Amino acid sequence: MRQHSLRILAYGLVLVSVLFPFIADAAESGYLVPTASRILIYALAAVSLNLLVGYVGLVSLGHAAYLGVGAYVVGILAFHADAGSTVLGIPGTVQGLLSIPAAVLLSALVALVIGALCLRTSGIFFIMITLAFGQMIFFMMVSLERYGGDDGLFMYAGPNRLGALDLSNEWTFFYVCLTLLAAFLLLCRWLIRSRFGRALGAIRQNEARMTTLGANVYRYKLAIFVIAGAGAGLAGALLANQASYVSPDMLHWTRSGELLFMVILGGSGTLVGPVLGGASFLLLEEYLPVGFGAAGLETLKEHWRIVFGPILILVMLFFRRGIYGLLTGEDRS
Amino acid sequence: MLLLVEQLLNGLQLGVFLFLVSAGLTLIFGIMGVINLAHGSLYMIGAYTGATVTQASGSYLLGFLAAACAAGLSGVVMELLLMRRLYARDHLDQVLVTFGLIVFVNEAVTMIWGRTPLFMDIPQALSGSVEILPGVPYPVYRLAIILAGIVAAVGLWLLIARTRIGMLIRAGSTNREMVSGLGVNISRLYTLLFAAGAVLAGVAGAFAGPQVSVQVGMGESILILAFVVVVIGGIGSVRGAFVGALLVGLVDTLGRAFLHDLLGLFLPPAEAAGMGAALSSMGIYVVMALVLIVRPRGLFSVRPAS
Amino acid sequence: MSDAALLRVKGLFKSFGALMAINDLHLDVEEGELHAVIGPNGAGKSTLVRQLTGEMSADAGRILYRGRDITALAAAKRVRSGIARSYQITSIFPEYTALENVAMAVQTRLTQGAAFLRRAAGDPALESPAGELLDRVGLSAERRSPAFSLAHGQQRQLEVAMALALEPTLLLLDEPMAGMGQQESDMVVDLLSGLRGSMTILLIEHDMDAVFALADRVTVLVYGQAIATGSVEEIRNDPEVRKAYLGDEHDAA
Repeated sequence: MRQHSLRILAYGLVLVSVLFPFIADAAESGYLVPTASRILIYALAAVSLNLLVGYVGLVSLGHAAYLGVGAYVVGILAFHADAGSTVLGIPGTVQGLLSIPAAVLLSALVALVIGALCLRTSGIFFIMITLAFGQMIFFMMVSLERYGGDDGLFMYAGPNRLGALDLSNEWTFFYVCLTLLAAFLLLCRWLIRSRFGRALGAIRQNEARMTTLGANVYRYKLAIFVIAGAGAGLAGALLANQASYVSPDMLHWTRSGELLFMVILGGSGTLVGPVLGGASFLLLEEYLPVGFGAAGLETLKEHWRIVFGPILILVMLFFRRGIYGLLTGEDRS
Repeated sequence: MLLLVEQLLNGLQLGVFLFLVSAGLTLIFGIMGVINLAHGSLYMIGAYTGATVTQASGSYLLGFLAAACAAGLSGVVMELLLMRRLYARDHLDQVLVTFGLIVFVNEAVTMIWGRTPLFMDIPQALSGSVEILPGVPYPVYRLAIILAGIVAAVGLWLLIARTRIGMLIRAGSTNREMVSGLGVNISRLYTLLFAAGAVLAGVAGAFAGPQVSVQVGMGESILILAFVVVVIGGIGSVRGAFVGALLVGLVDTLGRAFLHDLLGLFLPPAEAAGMGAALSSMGIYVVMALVLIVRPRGLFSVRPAS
Repeated sequence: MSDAALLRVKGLFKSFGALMAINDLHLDVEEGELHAVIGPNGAGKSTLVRQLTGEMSADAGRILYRGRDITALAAAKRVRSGIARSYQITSIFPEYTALENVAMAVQTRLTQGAAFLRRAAGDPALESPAGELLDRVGLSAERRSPAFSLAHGQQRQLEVAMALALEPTLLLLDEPMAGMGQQESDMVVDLLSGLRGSMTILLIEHDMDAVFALADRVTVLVYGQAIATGSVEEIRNDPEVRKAYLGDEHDAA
């Protein structure tokens, strides 16, 4: 696609995103707003993962863990607010201005600890050990009987209040998600363009050389790992508010696999790619069955995954550059 | 004491069982350099086929053979259609392609067999218990699995240490390019290897049939355990897979059996139970993390130091 | 054995399985000199370089730098102490331009703390010194070219520029002229002549003309041992050296 048309497309998409609730309302499809919010949340998670995969070449198969930690912080705080009790001496809260930063902070902390251990390895081993730690956190959440264990935890008071904003209002929530996604994208852009970002790119291209240039590669990787974890934690906190429910399922390793997919589907190595990837993935999940149903293919409507699986395979084999690559003709893989 | 012996045997059984699943996985990693997330699916195919054929024919032997064949055949098809394209790709691609494969196979199995789990009885000939030590009855079926696993381990060892194919496998796991440079038909070796790993996984699945409920998702749970075994043991090392599998089997079993009692010495019962449950499921991952920190390439890595 | 030695290698050993790559090696490099290390293939020259940068650990022996024992010091820390190397097999950042490659080296030397968050592209604090270094090695025309697109010899020049960007006190050059044509080699010889005196250089090379033109002292490495050390004239006329190495070279030439 030519630069000019690409620019128009980009502006168009931004405009549609910003005006989406109005457009949906006008099209009598107001029920689509929560779906759109979900897309924004997963886009945020995918962007955070892409910091690792696309910009440094670290394939983490345990990223859903940080999503889960963020979600559970919100859920647990809401639980205690409801019950009027405390957790580790801290009272519960349904105030988003407290619970969301807490979620981000704790996810960052968990990422710091896990990253410190995982980043001592590389290649296949890194993939495996991130998977293992993801599983560890998963089992930890499952074993928390008090917070629902396997069944998950309902937030009976509903979503948080964000200062004066009522997050149970679908439109308010949508714009909060949109703002946070935009803010995170700007943060990532700044990081990538900074000296830190340039160093990360150098590490991806030739790690050994960076070491012999005197750089402490481990520290760079750890720093970006923590930032990525924090981003996922933010997405998790939003996810908890979106569903008013948290469950260990959010941390299952297959979730981590799906996040990786979103990154590649959209095009890794670019900021916008994962946003496209997250959107496409979720839209496929939602509308593939619907499409089959509309076409009268009832079996496929129920078993849409039998087509979904091969789609994922084909994309990985033949469209490796992702949607962004297809649109721009660039190979950023 | 008696409980300890029983649990040790259980741990051994789980270990040997995990070895069947992991041996193929570690060789495929080590020699072909491919991460195959769908290895668990082969295990699942074995379980489903075993359960179905056994029920239909009334013969367990037939069921086991069918399981081995179905898994082996699936493995061959998988290798020819997909795996070949992945040898040259990086790990991320392999992870995601095989991930898509899992989604596909899970759905296919659901379409064929439905969502209700299948149940399989223990073969009559192998039911009941035997007193292995005075006062310690132990299920015959579990002993049979232990035996089968040890036979498989010995068989694999003989194959790898004593035959020409074994030599190629050993050479291949340390230096892939060299082996193809020797003029060996690499494609055929790979397909064979992949099929062999698939058969082992399928047989393990058939063994698992009477012990667990046969359902979609069983592949994923065993896959993770197999990964842990392979990482602990060292990629490409069958010996490592054996040791790793036993270690994982024992840690997991003993942990689940005794951890909450152990914790009960220090903590109030409710906390001990809760923490015990959490720690025992996390146990093997903790071990894996520790191994990786001390020996980043696993216990018996065959890879040369770079 | 001079006390002014910047680098002292004492009794170094390194083996790979049954292969003894470095066998009781003793070597002194004096401050400010250009010290060449020559020897047949497999003599252990590259292994030596890796031991000196810390990329590989020694089995036994000591490495002293400025009187300090750095045998166990990590690679990144050695760079910070002033030891830099260029690679025989080019090791650069292929996607970055030549300027960005050198800027990256400048950046690792200069940047601390919050400065990491400064925008990288177009920053004169990085690009000015980087540009100068590119000029110095003769790559001014290729500033904006991506590194992978550079010719083999140009990538070597880039290597040297990156090593220089670290403002090292000890520069280890691992066969900088390998695979170069006459013209390119001459350029590198000029470049290295220009560097003489401003820093200590340890030059591993096969190209005898270059070695004899540049070196203050030469050490001959055979089977992991230093069989002779001395001035160019001394080495040229040493019968042991002729037998072990130079004689073979001339036959092959």
